[in-house]
Amino acid sequence: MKISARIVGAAFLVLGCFTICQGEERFMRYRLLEPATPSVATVSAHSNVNLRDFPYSWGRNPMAGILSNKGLYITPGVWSPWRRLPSSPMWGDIGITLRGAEPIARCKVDVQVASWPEEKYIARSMMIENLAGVEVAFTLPPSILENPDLIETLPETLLRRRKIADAVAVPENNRPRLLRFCANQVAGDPSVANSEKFELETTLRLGLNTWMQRWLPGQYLAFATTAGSPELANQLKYSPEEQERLAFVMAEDEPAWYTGFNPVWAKTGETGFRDYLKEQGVTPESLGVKSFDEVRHIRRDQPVVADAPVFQRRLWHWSCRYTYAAFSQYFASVTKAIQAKLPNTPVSVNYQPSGMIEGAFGDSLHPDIFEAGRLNGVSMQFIEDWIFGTLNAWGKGVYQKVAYFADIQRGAARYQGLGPASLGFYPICIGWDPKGKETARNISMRINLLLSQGCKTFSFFNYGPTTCATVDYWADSAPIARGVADAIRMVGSDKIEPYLWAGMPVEPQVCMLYSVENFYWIESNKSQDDEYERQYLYCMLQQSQIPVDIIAGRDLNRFVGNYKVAYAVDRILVRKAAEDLKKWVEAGGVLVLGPGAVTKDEYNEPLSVFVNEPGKNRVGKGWVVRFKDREGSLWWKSTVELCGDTGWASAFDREHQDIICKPALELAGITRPVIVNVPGMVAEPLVSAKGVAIPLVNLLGLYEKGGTRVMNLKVTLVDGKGVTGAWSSRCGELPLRREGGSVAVVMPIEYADVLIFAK
Amino acid sequence: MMTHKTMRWWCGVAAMVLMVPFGAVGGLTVNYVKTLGQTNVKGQPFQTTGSRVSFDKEGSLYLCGEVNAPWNMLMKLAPDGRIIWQSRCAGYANVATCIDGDHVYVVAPKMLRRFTLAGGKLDENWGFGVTEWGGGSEQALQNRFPKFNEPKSLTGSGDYFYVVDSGRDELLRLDKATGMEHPFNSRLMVLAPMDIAKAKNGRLLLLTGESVFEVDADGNPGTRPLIDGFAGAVAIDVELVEGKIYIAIGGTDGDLVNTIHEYSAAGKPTGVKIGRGGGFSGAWAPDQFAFASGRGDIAVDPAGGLWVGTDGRGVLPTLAHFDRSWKPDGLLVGVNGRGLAVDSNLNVTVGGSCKLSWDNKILWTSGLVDFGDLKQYPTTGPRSWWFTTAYADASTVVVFNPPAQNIVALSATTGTLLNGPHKATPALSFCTDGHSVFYVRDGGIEKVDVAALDKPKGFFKPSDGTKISDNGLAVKADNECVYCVVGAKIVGYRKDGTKLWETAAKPPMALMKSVLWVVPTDGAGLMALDAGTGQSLGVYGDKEADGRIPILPVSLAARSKDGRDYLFVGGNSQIRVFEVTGP
Repeated sequence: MKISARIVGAAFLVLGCFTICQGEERFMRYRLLEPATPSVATVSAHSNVNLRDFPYSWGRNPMAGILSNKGLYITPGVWSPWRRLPSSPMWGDIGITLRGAEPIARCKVDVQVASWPEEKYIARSMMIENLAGVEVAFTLPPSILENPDLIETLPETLLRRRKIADAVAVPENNRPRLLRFCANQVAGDPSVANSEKFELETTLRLGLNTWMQRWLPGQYLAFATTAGSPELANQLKYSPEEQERLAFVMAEDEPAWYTGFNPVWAKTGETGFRDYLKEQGVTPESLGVKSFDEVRHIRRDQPVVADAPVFQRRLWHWSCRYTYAAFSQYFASVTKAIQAKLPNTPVSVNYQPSGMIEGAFGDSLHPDIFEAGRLNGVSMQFIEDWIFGTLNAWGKGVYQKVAYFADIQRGAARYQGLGPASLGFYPICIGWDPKGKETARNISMRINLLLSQGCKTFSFFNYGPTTCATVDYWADSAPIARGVADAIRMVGSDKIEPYLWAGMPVEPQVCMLYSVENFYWIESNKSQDDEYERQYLYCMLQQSQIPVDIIAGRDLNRFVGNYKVAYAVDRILVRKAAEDLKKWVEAGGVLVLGPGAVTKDEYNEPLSVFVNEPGKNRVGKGWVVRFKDREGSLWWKSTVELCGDTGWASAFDREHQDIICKPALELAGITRPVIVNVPGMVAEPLVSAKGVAIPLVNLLGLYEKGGTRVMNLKVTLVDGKGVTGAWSSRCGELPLRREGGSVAVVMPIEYADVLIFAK
Repeated sequence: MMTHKTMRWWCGVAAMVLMVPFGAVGGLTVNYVKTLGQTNVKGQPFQTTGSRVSFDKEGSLYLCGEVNAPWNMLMKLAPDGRIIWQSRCAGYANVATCIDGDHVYVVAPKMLRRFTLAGGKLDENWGFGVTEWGGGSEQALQNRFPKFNEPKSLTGSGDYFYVVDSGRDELLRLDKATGMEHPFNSRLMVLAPMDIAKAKNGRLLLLTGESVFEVDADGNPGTRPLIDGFAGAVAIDVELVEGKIYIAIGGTDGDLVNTIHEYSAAGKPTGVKIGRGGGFSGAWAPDQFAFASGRGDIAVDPAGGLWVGTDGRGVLPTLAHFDRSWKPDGLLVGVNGRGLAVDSNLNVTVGGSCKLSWDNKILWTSGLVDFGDLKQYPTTGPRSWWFTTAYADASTVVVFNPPAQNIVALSATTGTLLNGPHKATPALSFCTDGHSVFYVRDGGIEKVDVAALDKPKGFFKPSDGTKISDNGLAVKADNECVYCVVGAKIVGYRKDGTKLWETAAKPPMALMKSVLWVVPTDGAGLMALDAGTGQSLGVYGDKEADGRIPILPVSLAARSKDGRDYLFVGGNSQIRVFEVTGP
């Protein structure tokens, strides 16, 4: 979650504020009340806007030359001269730090903020007190003319957030004890005594049960080794009792391929690459050389052209393979070191979201998550989403894609066996809306989409009540705080959480292939659309209640036998894998191909294992269906048209959805575990011996204003054997209908709920 | 075209004319006596019916239905069945009404209108809808209003109206002051809504085929169904004294069908079920329920009486009133006038489906519907609503069902099955001489005794080989003469098959002593023929008549009592009774 990743979202969120109050002037003056001795004051600020003269900072900065060149001598009880504050678009918080001849234990300062340096233009007068420090601070909103009520002392800011949390506080019996909800980036502020403790208490009231730093009584612990160094593992010293309360260890944040590759390369250089080639059975002749001594690794950021000589293309392929293997081996060593200290604690890295949104795994930045799974690079897969609510935003407003991300995580984790600690996720919760009245519905929706893929650990970046430095800009949002509490309340009770914790995704009958090798060539073949196409297909299948697994293309023969249907959209697939895929079809599988899919091998050579013409063809006992058009792209285009001027995914196309689902439903005759009677609904079951939990998501209910809620959603569990009762988190007990071997309920839904069919 | 104002004028004329004797022609005097089964005054039967029924505080009933697309007819009926006013409006089918304040509100796919309760005056400044044929303002107007697709029902509450639209799968909120949409924050999707009513607590009750949900004024549903588990529910209404909820349910094959269930205001079943399957004390359940067809309505009047309207079988709208003992007691609107049989007490059996007393009360309904149980009540074929009653006395009613080609005997006191069905009668024409039943078959006439319906025997054939048409029949009580249809003429024959006379006229026909009543060839009114000579004794009524004799009568019956001769004329969904006097 590096700053660079946040900038895009930040720009969207505050653009409107800036345009409104461009150039607004602001002034302040202050009067020392305590200590009653002459002191020196330093005014400092941190900006929530990344300006040329006022860049981001993680703490308040004196900004020499802008705010003050040197300390200002002030006399107690006397107003300072009016001082000009940075004009809009700067906004953030302003601090006053005191120094005296004698140590200062506490301080109290009067502050006035005005739109012009005269008394009649004062927008806010406030007394700020710090009972245990020498600094006081207040928040300067984007416009003091439009939002004078948002000129707040920082203690007021913390209390405002607490008040919001108290209004939606999750009752003790609704707080989760099994699922992990982490309050990431909780921090106090040096101008407010005990503020960190205060803030943590606020997170507890919102229902969060895990904290990034050391634990409080009753909380879990998360720990991050941001440097990604195996040596840092030696610093992890916890008692057995403390280890019991470790939720996970984050070994690295947003690693790129070079994060792991470079340390390995530094140690082994070309030798490591050549050894790898030998292990993989690659011969020098296949690379057009006589001996491995002539082989030179090509870095991932130096791609060869698509029509390069074949030996060079082969070398490129194997260079990429090695790059990602080296990355995985490196983090496997980190993980191993950490687990030597903490054998039962999941270890993870946080993969960048742009791996799916603007790129793909295996592209010029992102590592190969599947390879990391194969080589035990981590024991817990972690991704963050960064999806926002509008059609034009990053992620195109389709929050449903978080399920796709989690399904990829599951595909990587499958190599090690799936369990409740296999997946973790950062639902990105940013926004600045201090006094917003609504509840951010996307949080409950995302939690449910992730739960339905088997994710049970969530770390919110950020949850809201944090004040220190730039991060408070990201998440000082009342709707988000309410949304977090809403989500946790939904899943946390004794009647819901045990089913979610014990339940694992039903075994799908449909898989999608993810050919990382396709994206070795993303620059040369311009194959970004393949990634988008897969996302769209995934969304369509899921909206039709067809559960899907995502499996890696290269070694698909390890898993594809578990499925009746496979969808492939990547134009490149490893030749051996394509041949294995054909054998699977001949044995009865139904393969659904996009136009151009599986027509090239890993060296970008033509591949003719499957017919390239559109149509439906018998192959052995199975079928190969190749679409003429990119149905996913057409679906999205039509969806955008249906949404009209709403600006968000308020409707979904059904025509292309039906086309996509037809091969699975009609040719392969798959059975859906759950059936619902309305469009735009996600309902994937989590199955355990206790019963079936179905996290429900009404994709059309994203917003209260202009969304769609459903009065009589009917949810049918096709295999109702042994079910004795039904209830949901929002609705309570529900009348259970038995329809042959199925059971069903009818219930209202606004945007998210968890339905339990208990045995 | 007929405007609203001219319609009202005609209504007024009709009301005045009804007060005077109809007239004397050719020595016979025909005086209007009464109407059984009130319906549309102007003789425009509903085609797809008024699917929704409403009551005002005084107990007047409002019914609206399509008469000739896109035109709908809105009627206000007094509790005794008298039509108070009727008005025409456009909007195509699926009409729904509700009462709020001083207006009755009507919604249809292309219409949202309101009329004053007093006088039925259209408020031109409220709502939308075409006002003239081909009116070009429809779309422009509608742009300001909700785009209805298949509005099923509406109700008013507070400052709003709420409309359930099954085409949009949605509950819509309208501003009562303007009729324009006042949308909820979030659209409320309701899959396959059927009806809406206001509960005693003020909340809305939304009915689907399977459930009832409570919904508040902002469209927020309760957390679970108030009532759940129906099979094919079609209508809901609430009795506002105790808040009891009534739900009309179609049912499923193999299960109880066409029932009305009563629930407490809290949604708990009270055990009262009206219709087949128990709880309904006394006579057979109201067979006119045809909720299984997916349509129909129920309404509770201010006195707590329950009214049932149904149109599912393609027949005209029928309303039956039930008192708290759940016996049908009240008005029947839209009786299909075919197949009249009148017993010696002047009780009228209509098409074998119901029996009306002389004072227009329902004595029973028979169970001759699509979903019989093959035991106590006969089963009839799909859409077999056109029954023909041939014979009725104090103990037995004989009914023919032409589509199913069978004949059954019903109890004249309960309407339940006595015997049959007997597969013997592919005919459309029937008559009786008081003991036997006659029907046309293979160009001749067969006879069957009421006591042995399963043993038909030959009776009559024209001696010249003429094939008589299966379109009407009368037989003189002593069997000396038969009167039948041959082509476009009515022909009288002697018992030996020789022709007595022929006259250009049309069926139906009824023999009253020595007068054969038929219909003139132009279909207007009635014609009296001398049964012995075929000479016309006069024509009564015409197309421009005030409606007392229906245009194109579909059924005639004659019966005498206490020395007075009555002619019963069925058609246009009503039965008009005339007294005939003369030489």
